[in-house]
Amino acid sequence: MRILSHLFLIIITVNFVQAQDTLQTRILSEVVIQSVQTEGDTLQNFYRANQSANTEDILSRMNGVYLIRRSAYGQEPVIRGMSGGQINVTIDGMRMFSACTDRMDPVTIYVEPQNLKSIDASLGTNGTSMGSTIGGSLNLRLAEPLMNKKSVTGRAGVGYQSVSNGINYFTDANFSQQRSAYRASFIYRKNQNYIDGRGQTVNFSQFEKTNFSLAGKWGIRKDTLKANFLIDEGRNIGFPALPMDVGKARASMYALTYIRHTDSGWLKNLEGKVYANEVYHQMDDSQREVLMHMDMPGWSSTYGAYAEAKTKAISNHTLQFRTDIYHNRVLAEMVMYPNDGGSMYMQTWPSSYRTVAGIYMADDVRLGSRLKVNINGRLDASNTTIEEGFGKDQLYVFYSQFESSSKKITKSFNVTARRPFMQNFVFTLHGGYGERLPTNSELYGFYLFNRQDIHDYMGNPHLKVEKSFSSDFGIEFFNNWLELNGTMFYQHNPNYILAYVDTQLDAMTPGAYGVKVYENISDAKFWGAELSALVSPIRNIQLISSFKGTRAETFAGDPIPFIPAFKNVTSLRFEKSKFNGQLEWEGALAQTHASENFGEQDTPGYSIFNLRAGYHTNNHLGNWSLSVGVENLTNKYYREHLDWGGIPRPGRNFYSTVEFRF
Amino acid sequence: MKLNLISTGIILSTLLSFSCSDDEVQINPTEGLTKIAEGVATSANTKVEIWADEDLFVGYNVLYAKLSDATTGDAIDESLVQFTPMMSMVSGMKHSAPVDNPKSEQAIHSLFPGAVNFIMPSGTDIGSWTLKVKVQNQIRNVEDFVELDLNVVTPEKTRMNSFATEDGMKYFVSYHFMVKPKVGVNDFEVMIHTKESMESFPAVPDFTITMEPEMPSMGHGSPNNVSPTHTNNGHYVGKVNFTMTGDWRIHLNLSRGELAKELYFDLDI
Repeated sequence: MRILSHLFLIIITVNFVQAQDTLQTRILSEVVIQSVQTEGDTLQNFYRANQSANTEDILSRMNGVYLIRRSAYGQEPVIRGMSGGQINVTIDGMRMFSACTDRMDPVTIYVEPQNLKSIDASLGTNGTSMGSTIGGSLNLRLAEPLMNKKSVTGRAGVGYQSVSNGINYFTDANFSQQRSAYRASFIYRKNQNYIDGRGQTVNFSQFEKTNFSLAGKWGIRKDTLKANFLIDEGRNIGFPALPMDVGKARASMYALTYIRHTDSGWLKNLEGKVYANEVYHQMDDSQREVLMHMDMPGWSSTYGAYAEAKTKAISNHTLQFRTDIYHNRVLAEMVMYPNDGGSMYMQTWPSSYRTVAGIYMADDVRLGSRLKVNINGRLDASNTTIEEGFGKDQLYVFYSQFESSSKKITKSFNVTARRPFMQNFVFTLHGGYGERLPTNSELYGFYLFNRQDIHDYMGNPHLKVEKSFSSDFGIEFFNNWLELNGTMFYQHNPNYILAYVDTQLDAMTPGAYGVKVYENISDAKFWGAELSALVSPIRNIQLISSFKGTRAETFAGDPIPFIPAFKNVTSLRFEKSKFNGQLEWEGALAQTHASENFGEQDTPGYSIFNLRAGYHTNNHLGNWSLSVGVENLTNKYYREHLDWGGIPRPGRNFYSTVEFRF
Repeated sequence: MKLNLISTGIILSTLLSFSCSDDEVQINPTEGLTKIAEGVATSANTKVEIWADEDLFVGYNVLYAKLSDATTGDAIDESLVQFTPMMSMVSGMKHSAPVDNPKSEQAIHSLFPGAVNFIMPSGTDIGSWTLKVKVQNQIRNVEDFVELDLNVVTPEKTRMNSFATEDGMKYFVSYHFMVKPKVGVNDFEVMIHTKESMESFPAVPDFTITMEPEMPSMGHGSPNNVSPTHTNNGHYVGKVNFTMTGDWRIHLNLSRGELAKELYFDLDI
């Protein structure tokens, strides 16, 4: 049962992120990527099904998390049907914003599993510890150097995928001393166009990237100082569902963290961080046959800091405080080159900046012996300013009057109660309220072409904050061989931000049908459920099954776009000494609740099988492991509902990874 | 007491600004302008300089007259100023052009702004333009004029359009931006004149104009434009919006009773 409870800790995605639970199961919505006990870690094998898997593959298997797919690489996370500005994606608590107006570079792509320790997911309004949100949050924790005795450890490996003729090299090394440790990692991936289930090559699905990270950790008396540096560069990333590819996407991150551990008093620890990150993104259509070539570069830079404190239990309260601030600046340009006539220039994201400062507080209260209540709240003050000049002049064409600075306060508040019943049940009830700021694209976006519905999108500087009332109800059941966790949720979002056609406006992009402008609609509602099961009838066999489903409608009953179909991934794993084998089934129901207004089509259901096997050995030369497998065993031609442009998924894929540890 | 101090201050500073005008770094009124021609109206003892935003072209040119005392060089800020352009064609024919004379006898920053819509270019095989500038010496109460030779070129992109109607009327349509056009919202003027005689080109105030900008290489326009409507003296004022840089075309639909005419101007933003 050791594994089981460890697994349970990870798989369940309810909202007690800060809870230091002493119940049998510690509820944490965290996916551990690099576990200390990697061997036999079923859950890690579930989430990271394939040693060459990238961060998005892991995300796609997490509870309540889906991906919008426009390409083989660069997929955008969705939490329970909400994405973009509705959710928060942070890296080690750092805010980071993509530089692409077409959402081709969700910041999750800038971290690789090799430099990732774990992913924390909070669903709904409860994910506010890192920033105000209505849809939830993902925090990608970076791998830390391990500090123990003097040693040098590391690993190196190479993986191959047949479907895209893809190669993946990875290596990392950890240098440890008594009071300091350093870690470096390097990853290189190169994939050609992949082949779908009908044997057709999916053009423009290639990608290439390198990722390098350095981390240092120093013990200073009882305290810890950490420094992180990461650089990620993608090149020639094809986007089959879009009219353009990514020529280059370059991100760099810098962070310095100080952690103070205290033994005395009521404080447990204090953590402070300062950070900066920068993204340069360049879209490219030079390989496409287009009527008119264009350049679309984008820049985003973010600076920020936070401080947080956790207390020990004070009577029946355990408190957490956090205060944070960030400053983000973006600009995206578009230069078009017609066959005749001069080049044309505009700012698709007018030069603008946003500063947000907030405070967050959480309290875990024990009421009696069994009931635990978590209360948390956040208050953010923000200032978003569009700079004088070109971009603002552009927007004046559409809005004769608007304030260049928009100051807004966003608030969120959550209460979660959790109580065990009888021997084997735990009930969880959450109610919360959250608000989120409109994004850059929603406020100031200028003729952003959406290939899915073939419309140009215009921002609206008069947008109000989007709100959400969210509720969850969860039941957990566990005994010696079975663990079940089910959650139902309902969210009601007043002032929901959605774009609608403005018939007065003409499209800019050649071939586009019209122009959509963002507005606050009266409200939208989201509901759905997640269900996970872990069955371990005998010692060597484990079955993990994870089901997730979301539905969403506007107040008028129209389907909201980008709502995934009901999906299940089930993995049956067998393990004996140095061998392991895994059979997976992945399937989705048809999505017939498509949003035609947003160019969606119904998506048929699908069902695919994956087969995986692994072998590891430990001899005097070191620690070797080999994993092989075949994904989409029956070579099914299929796509998921959030896949843009009807682009099919890869067909049958044979893969193998060899890894050497030292 | 306080008031006194302030008023003394004002008087002092006013005096200073007058007395030190030669030494002080002042806003140069002709900064950014191009000098077109100059001459002296001898009996008024007045030097006349003509400045413009750029070299003269076929179309609506704002002209700035700068007057100074021919002896002392002191600026003359008060005078009647009238423009009379005249084209002497190689064929021997002579005609004038539509004119907006300076509205006031008081200079604005030492300049008297007016305008001429040159309806054809000058050239050795075409003819030559002259501009007669009538001025008045307020002290001596003498009216005088100076005649200046002008060079008018055909612009790369047409900035003046003319057409004749069946009843023999000829119309001249030109445009002008109050400030250099840029991406965003631009105040914009269309001028319509007709030809009554070789010397008289009066303004036509009763056209209805609908305007639509377009990017020919893209096929799209821009929203929220304001079609020019008549204000005074043949000037129709509106707003034209450009959403990006590049080649733009402004389509104008002109109508006046039975008369309807479509024309356009191309410009590079």
